[in-house]
Formats: sequence, structure tokens, C-alpha cells
Amino acid sequence: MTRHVIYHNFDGLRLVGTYHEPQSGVDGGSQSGASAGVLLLNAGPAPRAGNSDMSVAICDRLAQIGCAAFRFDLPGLGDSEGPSPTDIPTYWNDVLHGRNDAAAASLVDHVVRTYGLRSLAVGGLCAGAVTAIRLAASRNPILRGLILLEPNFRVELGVVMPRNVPTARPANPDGPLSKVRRKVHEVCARVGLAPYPPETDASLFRGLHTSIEQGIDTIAVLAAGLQSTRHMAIVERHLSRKAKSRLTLVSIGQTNHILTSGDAKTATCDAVAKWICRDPEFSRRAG
Amino acid sequence: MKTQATPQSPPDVSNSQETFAYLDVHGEQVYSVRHSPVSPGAFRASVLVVGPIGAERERAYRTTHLLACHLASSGFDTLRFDYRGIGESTGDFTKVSMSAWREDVNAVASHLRSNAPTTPLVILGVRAGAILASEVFATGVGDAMLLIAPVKSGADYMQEVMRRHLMAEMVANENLPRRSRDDMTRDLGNGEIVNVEGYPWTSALLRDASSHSLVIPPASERRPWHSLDIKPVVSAAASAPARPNHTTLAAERFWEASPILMPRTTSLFDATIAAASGLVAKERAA
Repeated sequence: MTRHVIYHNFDGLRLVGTYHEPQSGVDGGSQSGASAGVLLLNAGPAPRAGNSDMSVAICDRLAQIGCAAFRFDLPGLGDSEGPSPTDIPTYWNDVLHGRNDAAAASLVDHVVRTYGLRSLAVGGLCAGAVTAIRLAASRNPILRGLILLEPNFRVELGVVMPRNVPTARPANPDGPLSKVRRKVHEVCARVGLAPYPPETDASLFRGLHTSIEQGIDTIAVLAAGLQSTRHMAIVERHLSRKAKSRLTLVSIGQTNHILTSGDAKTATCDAVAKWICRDPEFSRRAG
Repeated sequence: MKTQATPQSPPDVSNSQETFAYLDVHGEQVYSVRHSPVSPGAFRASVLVVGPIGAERERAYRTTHLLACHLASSGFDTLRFDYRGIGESTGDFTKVSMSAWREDVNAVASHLRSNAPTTPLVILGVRAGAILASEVFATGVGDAMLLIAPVKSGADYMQEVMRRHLMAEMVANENLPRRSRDDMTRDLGNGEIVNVEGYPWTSALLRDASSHSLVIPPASERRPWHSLDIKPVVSAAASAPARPNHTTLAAERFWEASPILMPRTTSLFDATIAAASGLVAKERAA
């Protein structure tokens, strides 16, 4: 398989990515008949290779089955230009508030135009999944699918910061807004109106829910026993019957949140490749 | 009282431009990033960054990236790369080893040397990369050597990574079965592929690693070298009192998993530039 370094200028910043050329001369776009590709965004703040090169492994596998696969570093991450995030809680908060939305939308547009594609499945792990969901929620017409690896819906991460190194925006779970949110949730839950746990970002849940209802095929790869499993079960439970068929949940046992323990890496690659193969738009060898 | 974080001022990278390329090493694509000084007049030496391995690569990635930018801004034509089977480079991880990665260092050093044959070449090894840097330096490659937080030996490094992997698993998911380093070593000995920090380790990798150690240049070595040891890392030099060729820095362990994404590296960056400048001056004087 051949890889190519690719670039995109966004807002005066050079973003750097990798294109995994489909094997056996199968090129993305019109040459192969495949009109859709896959774009993976950074797994949290990790470089575009992903945690323990998970994103590389997925894109290699997709290229093997004839799917054009791309990975990009978002601003300030990996090899891309831009200010580096300082700490995980601040980065997470910024991602939930759209830090990467415009860059991701611009990348999607750039990739489809440059490689002659019509649509993309976009995804990533954790914060990468969040940005992908936000992109789908914005009703981006290029989006064909979501690849969510351990999506995280929490408002605040359970990260313990070292002493004397406060975050730029300290989390305050006991703040007045949090108390109001919890109270509203309790009341609504009693009458069956609020399906989302109080510690989560309800707009993210709603965004994913609406996207799937409106036709976005989605795969979620989850670490069994971790919160994402419970959260995605909530999403699934509230989907219509037709929309449920568009959601593929894959639970992997004995692994961690970044899917680097046990056989998760192989299992994730297998699951994503299988999911891609269902749709001939992604690969002429699909189906 | 809650205080606001005061992020350190970003390093000056305005005089650095990057070029990305793949080098062919034994039929694989070795990813390289060249950080060049924008002003040609500022060119002082070439620096080859021999970086961390495995999961330490991704944790140290942004720091290493910024260090390379900082070096370029200070007049050093700097090249960093990914080893075969890791990160952006192609290759099957189950078929590589520290010996293979040492070949990568040699290949990339030859590439740098052929591009600038008369320019001093500084080999800069970081963490386990320091072992490989010191080994190739001992064979005569490079005009000077700089080490950052060097690891003592391949065997020590593998033990450290296994310990870190087991600790992380215990913290990350209480449902995971408990294992020990002995269990992992036994499985490797039985020919199994064992997942360590997301990488498929083989017995060949472990066996090969035990044949690699940090090579401290002998007193007769005429080429200049220096080691920046970071407290409290237990490395080849950190436990010793002040010695020639060694500086102990109080800096954050930028290769470890931490909620701090941009550790305070100003002292490390400044010390690296100062050491590299000093080495080049010595090399030129010699």
C-alpha cells in the first residue's frame, strides 16, 4: 500500500494529512467507481496516526479493500500548524464548543473535491468522534457515514490534573448551572422526557440521534463495560425502527477507552472494514 | 483559591519551514519531516532527531515537533522521522526490531549527509532513540551527539514499557484480567504475539532489544557529545553527580501519558539549543 502526505490550508494554517491510496491501482473517485471515502480525525490530542497507530491500521485495512482513506491533523495537533492545546480538560471543553468544527468541515470539502469523491464517512476516537458528530449534526451534505470509536458524551472528563497545574478553565461540577441541569434532568426523567444522563452533553446526543434519523449510517466501536456502551445504548433505544438499522454497535471486551488493550486494534479494524464493505459506494470490492 | 493557568510562551518557530517526504528504506516508506531555517545565512549544522519509540512517540510528538521547529529557527537544518512499522512509516511491526530501527537511523543519516556533505551532522537521540543514536555514533556516523533523557538499555526499556502498560490497564478498566510482566514474558517466550501499549510485541523484538545498550563514548572519543538528563528519570547518567558531558535538567517527562499536553519545555529547548551550539563549535574547533 502506498501512502501520500497531503496538505490543506485552513484559515492561514497548513494542515498535514495522509492519504492511503487504495490497493491494486484502485484509486478513490471516478477511476474505481467508488464515490465515497473515509476521513479519520485525531484521536483526542494524539497525532493523526492515532493511539498506538490505530488510525493508521484502520486506513491501511480500508485501502486494502479498495477504499480511499484519509487522516488529517487538526490545527495545533500532530504536524499541523496552529497553537497546541495546553491540557486535556481544556482541549475537551474546546472540542465540545466547536474548536475543530470549521477545520473538519473544510477538510471534508477539500478531500472530496481533490480526490473526485462525492461523499465521506468521517470519524475518530473520543474527541475525534465528537467532532464527527458535530459535523453530521450541522447537516453537512457530503457526510455519508460516521465512524465513532469510543464516543464520549461527557461534559467534563474525569481527568485528575497534577497539583499546582490548574486548567485554563477549571471544571466546576458544583456550579449553579450544573445544579440546575441536574434538577431539570431529574424532573424530566420522572416523566420520561430526558433520556440523557445529567453529566453528558445533551446537544451531542441529540445531534447524533437526529443525524442517524436523517439517514447517516453510523458504526460505533465501544469498549465493553465503559460509559460509551451505556451512552450508545441510550441513543439506540430512542431511534425509530428504520433508523436503528443504520446504527451498528460493536462491543469489544477486555479493552480500554483508547482501544489499545487486548485484541481491540484488530477487532476495530475488522469491524470498520466490514461496515465499509456493506456499502458499494466506498469500494468497488464492497458488497 | 483557584488560579488560571499561565501557558508558557510558545517557542519561536517563525524561522522554520517544514518539508514532508517518504524515504525508501528496504522497500518501506519511512516518513520524514525536515525543518529548515528560512534564512539560509542562519544555517549552522544538520541535526538528525532519533526519536522515541512506540507509544512514547505519540506522547512526545508535539514536543518533538516543536523542538525541531525551535532548532530550525536557531539555524539547525533538522530532520525527524518515524521508524519502520511505527506512526506514519509503513512496515509490519511484528517484523521490526531495534536492530531494524538502527538501520533506519543509518539510512536517514546517510540521506542527510548526502544532502549536505560538508555540514556538521549532530545525531540527537531522545529516550530509547538515544540508544540507537549512541550505537550509530559509535560506528563513526555523525560529527557530534546529543542525547535527551536517554534510556540505559533496550532490556530496561522493554521492562519499563511492560510495567507502564500493566499499570495503565489496571487504571483504565477494572474488568481487565490481571497480568504480570512475567506472564507477558512467558507468553512471548511461547511464541505468542503480546499486545503492549497497543503494539504487537514478539519474542524476537524482546530478544533483540536485550542486545542494545546506550553506548557512552570512551574518553578517547574526539567527536563532541553531550547528554541532557531529565530529573527524576533513572537513566544512564541521572544518578551520577555532575560529570563532564552531562547536564541534569529539571523538566517534565514529556514522553509519558499526562493530562498536560504541552509540558513546560522552555528549559529543555534552551538547553538543547545551547548544547547543540556548543557541540558544533567544538567540532569546528577540532
